[in-house]
Amino acid sequence: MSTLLVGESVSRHFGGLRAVDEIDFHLDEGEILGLIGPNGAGKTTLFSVAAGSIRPTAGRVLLDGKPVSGRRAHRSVHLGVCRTHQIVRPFARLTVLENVLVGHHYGRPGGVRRDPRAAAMEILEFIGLADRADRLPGQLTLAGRKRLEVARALATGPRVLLLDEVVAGLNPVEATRFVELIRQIRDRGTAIIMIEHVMHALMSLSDRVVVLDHGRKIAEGLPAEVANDPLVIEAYLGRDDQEDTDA
Amino acid sequence: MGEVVVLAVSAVLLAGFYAAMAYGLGLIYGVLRIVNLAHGGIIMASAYVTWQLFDRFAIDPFLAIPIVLVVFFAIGVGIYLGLVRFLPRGPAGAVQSLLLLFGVWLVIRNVAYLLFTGNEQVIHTGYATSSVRILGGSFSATRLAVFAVATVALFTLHLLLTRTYLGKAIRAVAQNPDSCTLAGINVERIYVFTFGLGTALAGLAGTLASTLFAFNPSFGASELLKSFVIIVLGGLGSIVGIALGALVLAFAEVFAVYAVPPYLTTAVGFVLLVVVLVLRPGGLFGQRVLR
Amino acid sequence: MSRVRFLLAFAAALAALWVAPLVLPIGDYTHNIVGLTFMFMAAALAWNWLGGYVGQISFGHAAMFGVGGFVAARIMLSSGLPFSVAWLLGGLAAGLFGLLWGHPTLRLRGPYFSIATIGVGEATRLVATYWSDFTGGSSGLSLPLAGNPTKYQLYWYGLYLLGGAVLISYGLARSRIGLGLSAIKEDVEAAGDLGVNPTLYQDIVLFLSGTMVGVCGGFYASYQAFIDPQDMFSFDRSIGLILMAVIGGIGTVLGPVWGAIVFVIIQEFLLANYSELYLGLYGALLILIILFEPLGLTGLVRRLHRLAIPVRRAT
Ligand SMILES: Nc1ncnc2c1ncn2[C@@H]1O[C@H](COP(=O)(O)OP(=O)(O)O)[C@@H](O)[C@H]1O
Ligand SMILES: [Mg+2]
Repeated sequence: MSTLLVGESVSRHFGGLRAVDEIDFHLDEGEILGLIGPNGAGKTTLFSVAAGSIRPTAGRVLLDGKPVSGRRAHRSVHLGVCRTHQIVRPFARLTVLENVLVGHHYGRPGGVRRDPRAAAMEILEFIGLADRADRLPGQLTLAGRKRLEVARALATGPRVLLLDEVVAGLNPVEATRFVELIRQIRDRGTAIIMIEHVMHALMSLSDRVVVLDHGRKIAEGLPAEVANDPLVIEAYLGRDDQEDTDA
Repeated sequence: MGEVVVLAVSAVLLAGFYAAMAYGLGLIYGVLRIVNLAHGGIIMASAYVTWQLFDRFAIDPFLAIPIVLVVFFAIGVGIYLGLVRFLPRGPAGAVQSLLLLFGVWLVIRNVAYLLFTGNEQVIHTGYATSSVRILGGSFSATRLAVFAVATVALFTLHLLLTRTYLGKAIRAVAQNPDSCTLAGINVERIYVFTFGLGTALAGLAGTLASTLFAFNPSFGASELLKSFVIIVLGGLGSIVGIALGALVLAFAEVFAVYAVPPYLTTAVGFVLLVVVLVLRPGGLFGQRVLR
Repeated sequence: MSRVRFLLAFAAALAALWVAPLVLPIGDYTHNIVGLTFMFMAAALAWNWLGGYVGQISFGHAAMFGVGGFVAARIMLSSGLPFSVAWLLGGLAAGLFGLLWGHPTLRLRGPYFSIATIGVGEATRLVATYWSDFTGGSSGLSLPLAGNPTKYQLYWYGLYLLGGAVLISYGLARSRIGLGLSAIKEDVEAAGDLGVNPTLYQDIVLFLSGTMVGVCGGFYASYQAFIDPQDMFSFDRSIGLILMAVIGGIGTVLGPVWGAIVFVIIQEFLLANYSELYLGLYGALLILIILFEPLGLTGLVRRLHRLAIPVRRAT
C-alpha cells in the first residue's frame, strides 16, 4: 500500500502554547487512522493545519508529495483533503441538499459536472438523509447534522477525509450506524483520519492509532497495542481533569 | 527637534482622549459581539447635552461628567432593552444589529438637528484660552484636563473589570456566555449592564470632545471610525492594547502634517487600517479581533 | 419561479415599460423621475449583490457612484467618445477602485467590514472634494449638451441599466455562484473548508457591484448635466442604497427594485415638504423593518401570501 498523506514535523503554536509540537504522521491509501488524546491535546489543530484552515508554525503536510498545508483552505480541498468540524457548522439558511451542493460545486478544481443535483442526492442517499433533502439543517437531529457535515465533505470528492469527533454525542444506536457508514466510506476508496473519544468506535474502525498529548505524539501502533501502552494510560488517567476520559 | 517633542506631547494628549473614546465601542463588541454603530451618534448627543448643561445651568463640562455618565448609562440600557434585545444572535443578528443601530444613529442625528439646527456649536469655558508650558511647548489647559480625565476613567474601568465580581462576570461572559449561564451568571443582565456602560463611556467621550472641538449633528462619524481603527490596531483584550492602538493612531495623525495636506489627516487613520489589515490581519497588538 | 417563467415575465415587463411612454399620456416630470428611478433600482440591486447575497454591508458605495460619475464626465468633456462608452469606462474605473480598497478590507467580516466602508466613503469624499483639478472641487463640473442624451431619452437608457441589473441579480442568485455566496454569508470558514474561495468570490461580487454603481454614476452625471463631489460622494447616497435594499428586502432577488420605488416616493412626495425630517424618517424606517420584518416588503408579501394560501404540511 502506498502512502497518501504525510505530516513532516508539523508544529502550530498559539502565542506561547505549543498546540501541535513537531508531529510526524502518515496515512496510507485505503487506511483508517485513529487520532486520540485528551481534550486540548492538539488533535483538532492538527486537522486544521492539514486541511489548510490554519497555517502551521513549522513543518508541512504533503498529499502525494504536494503540500496541502500552509495554503488557503480551498486549495487543500481541491487537492483532495477535506475536514469536518467537531462542532458542526452547517449553512443554516441553506437546505440540506444545498449544503451538499456547495461541496459538490466547489470542492473540485475542475468545476462543472453533469447533473449536480443527482450526484448530491446520491450522496444524501448513501449517508441516509435523502428524505430530508429539502429541510433546513436546524430541523435535523444532532445525528442528522453530523451526517450532513460528513455528506458535505464527501461531496467534495476527497481522497483524504478528516473526521473530527463525528460519533461523539450520538446515542449507541446512531453510533453503531455511524461506524458502519465510516467503514463504507473507506471501502469506497477514501482514506480517513478520525478523531474520536468514543473508544469502541475508534478501536473497531482504526487500522492504526496515533496518540497525542500536550501537542506531542506519545504513541503510535495497532489499536490493541496503543490501548495497553502505559504512556497512553497515564495521559488519560494520570491527570486531574478526569472529564477527558469519558470514553 | 523642539517641534518634534511638542508634536509628540500633543499626540500623547490626543491618545488619551482617543482611548477613552474607543473603549466603549470595544467593550460592547467584546461582550455582545455587536458593533454599536450608534457610538458616534451617542458621542454627538453627549456633546449637546454637555453644552446644554453649560449654557442653561452654567455647569462646567468637567463637573457635568457624573450627570452625563448617569444619563447615557440609562440611554444605553434603554436602547438595549427596547431594541437590541430582540435581535437574534449569530451572523443574521450581526447584520441586523448593524442596520438597527445605524437607524438609531440617524434618528439621534435628526433629533439633534431639530432641537439645535445644523449650526456648529462650541463651548466657551472661562479657561478655554489658558495654557500650560510643557517641554518647550504651550498646551491648552483643557487638553491637559481631558487627558487627565480620560486616564482616570480608563484606570477606574480597568479596576472595575479586573477587581470586582461584576467586572469578572463581564469578562467571563465575553469569553463564553454558555458556560456562564451554566455557572449561574445572569447573562442577559450582564448584556444590559455592558451596553449601558459602553454607552456611558461614549457619553464621557462626547463631553470631553465638546470641550475640544466644535460640533454639529453630523459630528461623530469620524469618531466612530477612529474608535474602530483603534480597536483593530490594539485588540479588545486589555486597557494596554487600547492605549497602544490610540497612541499609534494619534502619532500617525499628528505627524502626518509632515506628509499630507491638513484636510487629509482624517484619512490617515483609514490608510493605517488598510495597511495593518494587509500586513497583519490579526491586528498589531493583543488579542485578535478578526478571525 | 422557474427560469423560463422568470425570463418571460422579465421580457414582458421590459417591453411594457419600453413602450409605456409612447402610448400612455405621462407627463414629462413623471417620465423623467421614472427614468431616474430605474437607475436607482439598478444601483440598489448592485448594492444588494454585496450586502444581501454575501452579507457584507457597505456604507461606502457612494465612492463608486462618484468615481463612475466623474470619470464618465471627464471622458465626455475631453473626448469625442459616445456617452455610453464614457459610462462604461466610468463603471470599470469604479469597479477597479472598489477592488483597490475592497480586496484588503473584505477579509473583515460583518460589522468590521461595514465600518471600514464608512472610512472608504469619507476618505474618498475628502480627496474628491479637494482634488479640484479632477472634480472641479466645490464648483463641480458641467457637462456639454452636445452628444449628451436628454432626460427624456435617458428613460430608455435607465431601463436598459435596470434590465441588466435584474438579469445579473437573477443570474447570481440562481447559479452555482449564488450558492457559494450564500455559503460565504453563512460561514466563511466552513465555506473555505468545502472548497469555496471566499476572497475570489467576494472580489468578483464587489467588482460587479462597483462597476454597476459606477455606470449608474455616469447615468446620473448625464441626467443632471452637472455634478459636484459633495453630492456624488455624499454619505447620504450610500445610505440611500442601503435603505432601498432594506425596505424592499435585503438579499432577495427583486426586493431592491420595490424598495427603490418606495424610496423615491418618500423622497419626492413626502420629504419635498418636510426635508428636515428625512434622516429621522429613514432611521425610524430602518429600525421598524429590522425589528418587525427583516425582509422588508418582500417579507411582508411572503407573509400575506402564506396567510392567504395556507400551506398544506407534508407529513
Ligand atoms: N485559535 C486558537 N487560539 C488559541 N489557542 C487555541 C486555538 N485553537 C486551539 N487552541 C488551543 O490549542 C490547544 C489544542 O486545542 P485543540 O486542537 O482544539 O485540542 P483537541 O482537539 O485535541 O481537544 C488547546 O489548548 C486550545 O486551547
Ligand atoms: Mg478537538
